[in-house]
Amino acid sequence: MTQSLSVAAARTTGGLFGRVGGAVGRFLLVVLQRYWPIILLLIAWPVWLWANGYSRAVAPSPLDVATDLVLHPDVYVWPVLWTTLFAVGGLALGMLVGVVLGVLVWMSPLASGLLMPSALILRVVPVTAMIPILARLFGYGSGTVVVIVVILVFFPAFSLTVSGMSSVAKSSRDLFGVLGAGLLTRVLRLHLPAAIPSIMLALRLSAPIAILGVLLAEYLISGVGLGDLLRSSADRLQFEREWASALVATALSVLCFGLAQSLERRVVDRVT
Amino acid sequence: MTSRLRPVLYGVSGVVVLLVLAELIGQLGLLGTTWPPLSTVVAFLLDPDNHTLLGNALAATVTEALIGGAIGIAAGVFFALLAVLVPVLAPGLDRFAAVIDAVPAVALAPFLILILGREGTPVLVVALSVTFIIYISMSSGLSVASHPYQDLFTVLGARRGTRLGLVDLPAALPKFFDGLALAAPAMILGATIGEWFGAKRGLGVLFISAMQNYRIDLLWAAAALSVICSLIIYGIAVAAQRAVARRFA
Repeated sequence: MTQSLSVAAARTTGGLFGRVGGAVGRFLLVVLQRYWPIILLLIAWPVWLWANGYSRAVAPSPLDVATDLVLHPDVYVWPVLWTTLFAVGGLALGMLVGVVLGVLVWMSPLASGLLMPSALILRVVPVTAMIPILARLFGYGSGTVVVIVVILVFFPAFSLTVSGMSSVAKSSRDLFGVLGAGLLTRVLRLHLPAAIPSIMLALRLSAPIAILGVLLAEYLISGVGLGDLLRSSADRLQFEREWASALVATALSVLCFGLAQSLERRVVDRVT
Repeated sequence: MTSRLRPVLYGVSGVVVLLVLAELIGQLGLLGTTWPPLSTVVAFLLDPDNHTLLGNALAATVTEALIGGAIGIAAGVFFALLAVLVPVLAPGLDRFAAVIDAVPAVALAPFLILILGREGTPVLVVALSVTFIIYISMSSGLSVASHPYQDLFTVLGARRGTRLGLVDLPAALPKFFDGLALAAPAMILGATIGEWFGAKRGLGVLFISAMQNYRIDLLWAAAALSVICSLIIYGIAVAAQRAVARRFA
């Protein structure tokens, strides 16, 4: 539909000018199609501020936020790098631990009996209760931030690995059984490949969770990163900076999610 | 020993090992005063003097979690169906789902309080996170129906809505319950995060006041209650997931 509309637009205006106009129109249509809810929100934001008569002391306008971002990029660069480093490191470590433990647990009923309850309990302890306890155990530093992210990322990877490995069709299991495949062969050639879509789903679900975990931990305990910037700017009543760092954090998280999503599509397309 | 009893036995002994380990760490003081013996926490939970405090907090948090969870499930399913029925909207919805989840609750707080007040904020935080999880798992589930079935219905002249109801939706149910199991702890978590921003009651309020007053026993008791709640909701979701998986296997 996008194509035919812009082609029609190009025909009606005609010539070189029309082709350029068509290209711009096509680009705008794609942007509109992909980002319409965000565009709606960006319009609603100042309208809502204006309708309620809120002043800058209550909530900053998009212009205030953009101004602070453009005039003080140096304030944001280091926090973004710190937060990214901890989130990506914690995500990788948490996925690795989750998948390896998932495979081990799937192989042994004893291991699954012993590890499943602990994993379940780790998963359901709210991070809001975990942070004060972990901070007292591991100190109020960056190491604790990594521990928190690993714990958050671990469970989706773990449980989706186990459920993905169990999802193999009975006929395939019978085939491998008839051919006399050993446990290792069955895991590496049958069950683990079958679990790859589930594992990639875990990665996609965990990418924003990792960023959020880092932000929450930085907000409460460590003195670096975007979470700390959010907190310190709120403490100093610099609302433009608080909202701008929230936007930067959101953009960072969306970027991580997008990367995980395209990785998931590419990998799943290859294995299925 | 029958093969059906064995996993239950392993599971129970695993929990016992975990609890004994936690108790020992506390009794021996291996991790200092931050890690009390479990028996102290249980005694605190059972002490009638603490029941009003803990009960009020629990009731507030569970109410927020359930209301927010119901809103989130409805919204997540609605948007996933919308993306399938009106494919033009799908790319925007996909990106917006990521944005909804990505906006850190910490940063949203002043904004949410402005709209809904301090008491409504936890419900909205829960609803937002549940919406995202359900949307992701539903849209992933709606795309798993095998193509031969979809093609068959299309060839036989079924409308998109008919095919959705008869083929895609039943095929999406297992993934939906997968999502629900993942959403269960997110409900309690979202409620407690929301409560950090000035709610009067709730487990999240207890975490903060216990931390600030060095009430380690209260902190652990509140944490234990939140874990038990999450486990109950999670258990219901997993039971439903198992039933559906058996039905559609």
